[in-house]
Amino acid sequence: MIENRRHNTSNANRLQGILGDFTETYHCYRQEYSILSALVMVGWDGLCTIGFSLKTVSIWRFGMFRNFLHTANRILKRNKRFSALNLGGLAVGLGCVILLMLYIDSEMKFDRYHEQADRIYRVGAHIQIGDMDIIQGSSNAHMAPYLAEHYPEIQAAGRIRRFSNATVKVADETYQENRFYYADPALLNIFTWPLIQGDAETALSAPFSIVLCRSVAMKYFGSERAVGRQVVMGDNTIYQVTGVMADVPFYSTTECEALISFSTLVDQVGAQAALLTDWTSFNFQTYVLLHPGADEVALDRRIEGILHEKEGARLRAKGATETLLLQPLRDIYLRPLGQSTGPMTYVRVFSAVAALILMMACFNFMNLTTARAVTRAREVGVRKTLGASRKGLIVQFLSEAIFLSAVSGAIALLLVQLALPVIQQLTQRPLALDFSGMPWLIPMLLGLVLITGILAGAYPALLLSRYQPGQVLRGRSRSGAQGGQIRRVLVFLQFVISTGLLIATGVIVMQLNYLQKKDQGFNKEHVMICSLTSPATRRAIPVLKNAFLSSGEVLSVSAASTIPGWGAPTNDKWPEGFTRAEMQLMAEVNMDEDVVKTLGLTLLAGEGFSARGEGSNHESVIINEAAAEAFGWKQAVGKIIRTPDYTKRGAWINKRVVGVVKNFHLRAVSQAIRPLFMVCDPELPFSWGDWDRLLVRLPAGDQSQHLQRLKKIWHTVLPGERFNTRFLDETFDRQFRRIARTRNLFSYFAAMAMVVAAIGLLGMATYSTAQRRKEIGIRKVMGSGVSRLVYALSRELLIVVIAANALAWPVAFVFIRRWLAAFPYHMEMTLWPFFIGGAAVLLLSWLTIASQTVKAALANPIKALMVE
Amino acid sequence: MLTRAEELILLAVWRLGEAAYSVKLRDLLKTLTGKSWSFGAVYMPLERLEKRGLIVSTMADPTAERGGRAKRIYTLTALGHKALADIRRIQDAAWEGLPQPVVGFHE
Repeated sequence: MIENRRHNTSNANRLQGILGDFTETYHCYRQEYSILSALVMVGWDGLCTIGFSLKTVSIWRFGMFRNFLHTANRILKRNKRFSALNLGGLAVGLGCVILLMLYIDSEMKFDRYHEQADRIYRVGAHIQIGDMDIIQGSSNAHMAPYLAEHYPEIQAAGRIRRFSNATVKVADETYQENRFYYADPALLNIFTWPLIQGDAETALSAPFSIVLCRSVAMKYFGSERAVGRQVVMGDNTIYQVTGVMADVPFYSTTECEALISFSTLVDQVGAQAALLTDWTSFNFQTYVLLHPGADEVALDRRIEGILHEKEGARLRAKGATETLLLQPLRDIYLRPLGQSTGPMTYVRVFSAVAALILMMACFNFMNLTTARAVTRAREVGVRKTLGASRKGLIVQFLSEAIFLSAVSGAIALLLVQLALPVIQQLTQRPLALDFSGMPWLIPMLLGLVLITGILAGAYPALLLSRYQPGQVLRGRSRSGAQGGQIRRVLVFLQFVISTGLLIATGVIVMQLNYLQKKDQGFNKEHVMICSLTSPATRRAIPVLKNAFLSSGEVLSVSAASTIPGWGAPTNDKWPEGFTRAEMQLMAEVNMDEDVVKTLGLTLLAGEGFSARGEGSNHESVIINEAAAEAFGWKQAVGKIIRTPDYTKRGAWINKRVVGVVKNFHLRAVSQAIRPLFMVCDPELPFSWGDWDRLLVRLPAGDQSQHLQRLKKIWHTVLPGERFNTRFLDETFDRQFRRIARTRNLFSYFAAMAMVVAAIGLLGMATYSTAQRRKEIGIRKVMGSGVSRLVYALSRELLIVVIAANALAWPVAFVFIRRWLAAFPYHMEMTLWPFFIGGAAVLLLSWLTIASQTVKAALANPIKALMVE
Repeated sequence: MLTRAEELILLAVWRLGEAAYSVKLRDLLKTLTGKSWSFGAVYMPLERLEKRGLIVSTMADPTAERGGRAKRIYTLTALGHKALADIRRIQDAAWEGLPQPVVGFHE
């Protein structure tokens, strides 16, 4: 065991040891005490440790610094509560900032693991047809070879295409895989996807070669050597394992588990297939690696017109403009093409929240420190009398503030360590205080502490050092009035921030809830999705459907090419009454005749597809309201829409509209509903919307029994095939998880911001009440009642809160309107979040102040007046 | 010469053997002296002892209760053993022939 240990006394190890000690001690305390007491005890341990360690550092041997430390120490001890508020507020603030930084870092990390990430670009396309304007990240099959050949600044180019729903047989086991990709060999040179076994140059050359990720190889073959083995996929096609690749890191937008050679796809669909030859069919992700120093802006401009060069006549004929574009790899996750919101939006929001929390924590610190200036006026007087220079005093106060912020920083680190499990749960990310993996972390923390210390210390340092010894020693303190103005401004700003954050939180939560509750236009409950992965299962659709229906276990069954929530490809359509140059784009799905019943869609006009056995369905189409509206059709049923014949280039097929359905969300609810073209055609070719799943509507109630019986039926119809099912509501709920995570994260940090603000306010209330003890005493002696006293003491702060609301509302309104405008469907803007946010801040601040003022007002006036 | 704290810690490291890391050391010192020790009071002497070559530290495997962080385990070096033996010898020599101090009633 000893041999395994690393022999190391580096600082990182030291820090790791210390953080580990505190975590362990915390868990130890937790076994006996509540979370709060355990936290306090660990915090106290931390303070003692910092105190002890600082005492032994040699810098304090120098007189001046030792004196400062003594003073700081005494001041901390003299008023423990005040110090706890001051340090605690800053520590909570810094802790929030560190956590937010970790989260933001994890967002920015996507795809940065590629060593050449800065030179990798994805080829996308901008398509404009009629009113449709689509920007997306896929391109045609020609792009990679064409670009690599004709553009010298491109070092390598490769295509990738997802192979979803793969059924893999290894020995006797069957596995269901969803993250397999067809890939060009060049991709292994572009991406940092190192091979552990096999040769990167040849692994993806031959058809039916497959490169497995390490964990997948382990799953299939255990610890045996995978290269040279075989796996079986689809209709008994044998694939040769030619390589094993390191697992793709967590922070990767392409969550790949295996790569299949691109030549396999060519072999499967035929080199002449439209999928591979059509310049305007965008079914591949193309990644290019530029030579170092290449000008990507110039390249972007040069590739723009390639499609019009190749297919100009066709594009002009349908009135389309299609241009190519380059998207940097590092933007793929952060700024999804064609979407107005994306992770970058939230990165900005969270950065702003971090900055605001840091500002509030700093304001607190400044406020509390300056507030105490009065009590330290004498100290300044004495020091000056004894010959201290103004510069020396500035250094003293600044170093005191930096010292305190460093202590807070250390406590913050501890709080972060303890809060990490919660945040990991919340974000579903492996966040960690990883000092060796994030070399910027330690300098950043030191910088944060230093800046906070300087910001917080500057004002008191400049103010206090200006005192004239004669005046302050005679007992005339001027600071009250002077500092008071600035303090009031800071408290005011704090309230503006916290009110604004609270309102924004309210609106964000409401909008995200709105999306979650929005009528989807279909009934997602009790719909089972049954994957048909192999050609054999697809051939069995009519038999399966009959067997399921006649069993009486199901209400309705439909074959489908996609499911709501996943979206569908958009294709050219030529509706009646339009010229050839006014081609329209519509999302195309292929569903069988029972789809209206199975999905619970609402037919607004027409009859829909005819029932089984009456075979005119392949000439019919159902459209949605959005389509009827886009084409300006009042009476849509009976109109003709022409659609390209996918088997014959340049040929068109007429489809008659037989129904108009109410709009439903085929894509994520955060995206707009596009015109829909719903056909019912069992003959559509592979990858052009063929049926690859069954949607099964089950009766309400216990689903597991139905599932069991359906499984039995499946196995009698298709012995040896895997029965692979999911439920539509679960799949659908997945898209909300990200939304929910963002919402929760935002609410947590808004709450923390409120805590920071409350801590500051409590400090201020404590201070100002203490200042006015005599006044209260006199008022009371003169006959003032408790409620009047409380009012007199709270009035000023309440005025500040109300003024803050007056500024926070319009500012929040502007930001919120902009944020909401990015969603095609958003809630009605109401004033409720404003009222609630404002009222909550008012209530919280009043309670905080009241805790102090009521106490002061109830106290015996003699006690206050006796002292002097 | 070692300070009292260093001496106690050196002994504690020896006594705990494989389990000699800061949390356990602190617990042991607490039971031995009946007073609470801050981590700083443990770390600082440990650092000095390590610098003087009386002990060496190694990083053990991380555990879950420590939030996935490794323990830093201390072991006595030959020099450390010699130092302990010296202390024992000097203590014994100094006590030689003296009666036990009286612990008991005070007026």
